[in-house]
Amino acid sequence: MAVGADGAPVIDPMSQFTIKPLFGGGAVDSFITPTNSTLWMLLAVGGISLLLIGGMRGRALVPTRTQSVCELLYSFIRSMVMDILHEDGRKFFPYIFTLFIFILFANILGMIPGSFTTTSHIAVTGVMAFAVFFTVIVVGFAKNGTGFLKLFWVDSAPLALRPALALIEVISFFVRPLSHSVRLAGNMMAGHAVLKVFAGLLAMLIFNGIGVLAILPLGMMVAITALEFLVACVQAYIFTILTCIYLNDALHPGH
Amino acid sequence: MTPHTPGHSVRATLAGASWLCALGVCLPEEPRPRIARAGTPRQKLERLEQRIAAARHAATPKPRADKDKYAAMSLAWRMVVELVISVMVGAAMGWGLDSVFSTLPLFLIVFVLLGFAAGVRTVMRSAHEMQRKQLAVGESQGAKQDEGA
Repeated sequence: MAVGADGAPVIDPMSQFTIKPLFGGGAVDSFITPTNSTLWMLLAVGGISLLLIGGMRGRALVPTRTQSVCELLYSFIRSMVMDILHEDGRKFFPYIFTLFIFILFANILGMIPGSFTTTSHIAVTGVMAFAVFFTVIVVGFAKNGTGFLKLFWVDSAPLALRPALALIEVISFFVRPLSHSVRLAGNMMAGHAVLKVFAGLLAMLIFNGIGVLAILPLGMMVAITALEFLVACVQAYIFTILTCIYLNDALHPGH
Repeated sequence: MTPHTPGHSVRATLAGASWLCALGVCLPEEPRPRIARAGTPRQKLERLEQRIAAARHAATPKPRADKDKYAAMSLAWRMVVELVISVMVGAAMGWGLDSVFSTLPLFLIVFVLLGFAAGVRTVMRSAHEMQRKQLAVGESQGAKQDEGA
């Protein structure tokens, strides 16, 4: 909690998103400087490895608790991928599962008080969204050749309108990765900022000697924390399901 | 092997097997001569599977209303983001073309309008997608009800 010059608490909801170098302080001067963002991404990867590799170690027919958590995650994403992509989904499943589990862990780790939410930065979500975008383009051209461009050419429209519609389709094609990344980062950032605002309000009420009223923002914080856990899971799910839908468009550009 | 009632052993197998079936793992056939008295292993297995199916059907929670509310909210949020972003993408494209050809307001205006059109198109497509999904869900639920009847 930030504190002003006279010792009074100050509401500073955005300071939690500052990227700081891990060692030696100062500014982040190069892109390989290890930062708190790097640390929390590595922690997410470590947590995933611990859960999936450690949990599946036994490979028991009747799973232990940890193993059944892993298997449920796996089969949940697998059935989603197979529902949307059908047989083609087999090849993309490892990629989609990686995306889902990384976003899920980054979001959930961000809920630990004092941690850093890597997915609240558009730099992180943008890289993932553009990876999906380029995968869609590469897969689309590899599978369909120039037929992939039919995605932009609306056959049902009159011929005179088609070039204008093609331009509109191209713009809406570029909208996808951006809205994909903005949605995830925006959701995470907004929720965490709101939590900080209520926390600041609570600290201010206590500082000004009307601590009885502090029960109101406290209740709000409890409710919003619960909502944020829901948002953390749902956003990971939405990111992956939209990835599947975009990939399906690339594989079958006809409709 | 300690003697125990067949009922107990079936229940114990059920507790383990309901997990496996939930995960889509097939149940292996265990040769158990003592249980085979009540039928061949395959018949026992079929009866067990029926019981598991009935238990799973009873344990499946009914779809909750507030879940739908949350899904509708996230769809609305998605549409808003898509609309805003497409206008911004259009503006950025127009600005880029303008700075290449140094015709500042011209392409910016045209592409903001095109971006808005693209936004409406994307939103319409999202709505269509959602409608198709809901129709599919409704059909599969209807099919299940037909099976039950």
